[in-house]
Amino acid sequence: MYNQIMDTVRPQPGTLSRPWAGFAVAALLLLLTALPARAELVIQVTEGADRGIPIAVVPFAVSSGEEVPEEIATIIRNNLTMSGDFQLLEPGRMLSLPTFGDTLHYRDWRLLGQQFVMLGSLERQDDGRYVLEYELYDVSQQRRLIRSRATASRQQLRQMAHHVSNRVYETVTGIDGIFTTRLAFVTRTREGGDLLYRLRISDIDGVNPVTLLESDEPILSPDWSPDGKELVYVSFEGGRPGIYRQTIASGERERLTEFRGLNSAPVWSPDGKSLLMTLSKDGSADIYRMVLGSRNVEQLTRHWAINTEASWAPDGRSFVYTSDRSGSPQIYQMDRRSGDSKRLTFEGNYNASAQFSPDGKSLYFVHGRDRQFFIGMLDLESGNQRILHRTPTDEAPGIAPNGRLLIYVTRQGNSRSLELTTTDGRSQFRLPIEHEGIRDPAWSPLP
Amino acid sequence: MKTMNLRFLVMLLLLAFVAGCSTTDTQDDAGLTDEEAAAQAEERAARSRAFGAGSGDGISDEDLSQEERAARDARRAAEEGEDLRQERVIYFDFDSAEIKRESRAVLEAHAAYLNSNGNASVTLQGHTDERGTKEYNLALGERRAEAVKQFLVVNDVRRGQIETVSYGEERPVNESSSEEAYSENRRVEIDYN
Amino acid sequence: MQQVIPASLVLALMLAAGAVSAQSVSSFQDGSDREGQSSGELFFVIQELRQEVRRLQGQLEEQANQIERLNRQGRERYVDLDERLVDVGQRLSTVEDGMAKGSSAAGSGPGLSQGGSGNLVAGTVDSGASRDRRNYRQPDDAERAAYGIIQKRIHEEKDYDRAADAVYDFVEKYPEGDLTVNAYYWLGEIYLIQKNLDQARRAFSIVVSRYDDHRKAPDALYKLAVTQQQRGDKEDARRSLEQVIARYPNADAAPLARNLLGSL
Repeated sequence: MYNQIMDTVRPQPGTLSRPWAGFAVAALLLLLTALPARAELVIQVTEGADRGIPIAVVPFAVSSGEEVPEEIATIIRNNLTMSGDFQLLEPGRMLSLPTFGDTLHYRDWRLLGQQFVMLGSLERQDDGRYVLEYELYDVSQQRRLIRSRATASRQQLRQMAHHVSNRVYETVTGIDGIFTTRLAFVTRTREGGDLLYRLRISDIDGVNPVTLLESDEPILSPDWSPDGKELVYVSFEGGRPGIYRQTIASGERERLTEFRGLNSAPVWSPDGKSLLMTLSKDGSADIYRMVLGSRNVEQLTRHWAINTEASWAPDGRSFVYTSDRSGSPQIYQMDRRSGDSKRLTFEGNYNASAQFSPDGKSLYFVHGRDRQFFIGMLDLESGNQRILHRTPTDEAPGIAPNGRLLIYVTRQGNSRSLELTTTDGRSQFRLPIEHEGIRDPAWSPLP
Repeated sequence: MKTMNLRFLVMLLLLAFVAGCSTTDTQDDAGLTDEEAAAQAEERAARSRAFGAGSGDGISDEDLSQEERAARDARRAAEEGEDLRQERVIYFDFDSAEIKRESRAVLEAHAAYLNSNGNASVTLQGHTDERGTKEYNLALGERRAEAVKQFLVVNDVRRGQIETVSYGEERPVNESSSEEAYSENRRVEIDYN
Repeated sequence: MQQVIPASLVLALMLAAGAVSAQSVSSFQDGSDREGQSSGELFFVIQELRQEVRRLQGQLEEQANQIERLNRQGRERYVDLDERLVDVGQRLSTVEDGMAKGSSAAGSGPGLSQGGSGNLVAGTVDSGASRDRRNYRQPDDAERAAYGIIQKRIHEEKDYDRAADAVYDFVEKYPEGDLTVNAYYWLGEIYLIQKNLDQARRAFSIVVSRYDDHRKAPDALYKLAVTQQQRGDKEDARRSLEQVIARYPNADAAPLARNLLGSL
């Protein structure tokens, strides 16, 4: 019996083959409806709180006698806080609590140094759906920027809050909001003495987790397809590593590789048609490219040292990877046309797992010095390298698709938490949600 | 063991050199001089004794027949190898896949066993400590396992008898975060199938 | 002896080839354990050699990087030197002007009082006003071709480092011509793209100060303002923009300058 549990991959909602797919959806809905009226935890700003645009999100009016399952205003406040671009006014310091534009006095907000004010009221309709009417005002210009109405079912309230956050964020900054994106990650926990791995996805704030795969054997390296509908990852089910591709909605999945030796570090190409991966079938760990249509693999690097952790440049003309051909892991860039590799990092004796910023101008990677690890950043134009000192982590961060944030896991003793840093390294936030044994966060593309 | 071996190498090269010189210098050289032959015989004798004379049990070689002696040597070597073969974990330095010389005797014992037991096979599991990125560590674990495999192959083990797999940092034996734990976790485990 | 010699030869060959073939070693009947030992030894030798190769590869990469950085610095110093020469020339001509005009000139030259503080642009425009319009040497075919290389590297290849190299080669070979001024202007553009603002400022300053009657001068002055703005020198940027409007009211750069001035 014990033997059977070993090496078995327990199907979970979302991981199932077709006959189970209907059940999976049902289970998912059940999970969502079962959500209690939660007290929304507030995001902890660990560093650099005072750098953003001052904005006040006034507590929303709620139609009388209604119990509201989600604190919409708090979710929006959390979102704007974790964007790193805003500084939120605590509701306790507000001089008045208007719920509609007619009752808004610009003077009050100017006095508090606010540049923007958001108001809203939530109402429950007869059909059970919720309506949020919301407005955004520019205090200095004394002008209304948004007046809008969003409706959602009880289950969709959180999503609605994220959607509204995007609108506010985009209106003020002109940058894509990332609040409806998702996070993929792996948890490793001990249950009854055995290690248990789970591949999960959640909202970007870590809430609403769904398990896609559960296994006694390691799961590693999830990466989102460019359309956000699929993941590739490494799973050791059966005792050997393989690269798998899984459709998130249906849970359908297929094994792409089971070569002798390594099958690791899969990443999608920007056009979604191929993968880069690390294989060692020909002796040493090298980067290969697999065309998803034909499943043909082509060897791209050739060196008896380690070559792994490939990641495409957004323009698809080159990719970066980690190699220890110089005695320690460093980051190299290979030009696809010429096939030439060039070393990019020269500071510190551990630079690994690089990823491009969405604009292709910089790299983020794991930088080690004196056996301590941080997120490093390299400006590709100038060749200047710097370290985000307040981000101790030794695994690759997830990069927000708008290029403004990095998400990573920090450890304190045995507990792990999700943290965000702005890409300039100035502000850090800790997400209140906890996932035991969380690792390997990967940020989805924009929906 | 190590100095013995180096001496042997030097000896070989010297002999080759001497032989080369002597054939060009003198045509009527009939081979070894008496002294050379004696020295060589002595060297061989010293060598063969050096292997078998581990415990010094007081029985002189002359008391045994040729066959008896060979059987005893083989048995003793097997016992010695068996002891060494109990050691199934090879350790590595940080960010290194180099086999340390101190692991040599253990690996040779495993090689000898696999050599004489053609049906036996092993899986070499490569592991790293938790520091550094997971994917690089997977590759590092693989290279550690590959290094052990190379050593066994060089020592006459058939490739078909060896499989490798890397778990990177996923399967620590000591889960704490200390230098001591790290050094226990940087390893290749030799699992007989 | 007969057995020893070939064994040692094989050993030497294997060392040379760097490859170990277990089969060839074990084919000698003379005690396979002895041969096993020598191949075991070879394993360690090769392991050490590989480690050494990696170390050397690392050194090589680091030194190549050092050289590249030094080259870049060398180029930057060159521009710096050029700028200082211009600056010295400026002050000399200012002094000469002052001597020629006599004591009354001091009062009539606004901005000259700042000359001592090293405000290059202010001094330049002043002295430039008193200069006649020059006739610039027109390029021949070879010069045009050399200039074409700069353009190609900037616009087509977008290889800015090599474009900057081409500019330096060009101004050395074809000094004081019509296209020389253009080349300096493009050097500023290159550095501006690379966000090397110090160098961009110097390159634009060369055009602005030394060739203030050239058709590229208004553009260069405008771009100098952009550079100053990006450096955070708001006041300098404002001054440069005002000079674009005052000195070159009909140039294409004038409306651009007015625009930028409004947003400062």
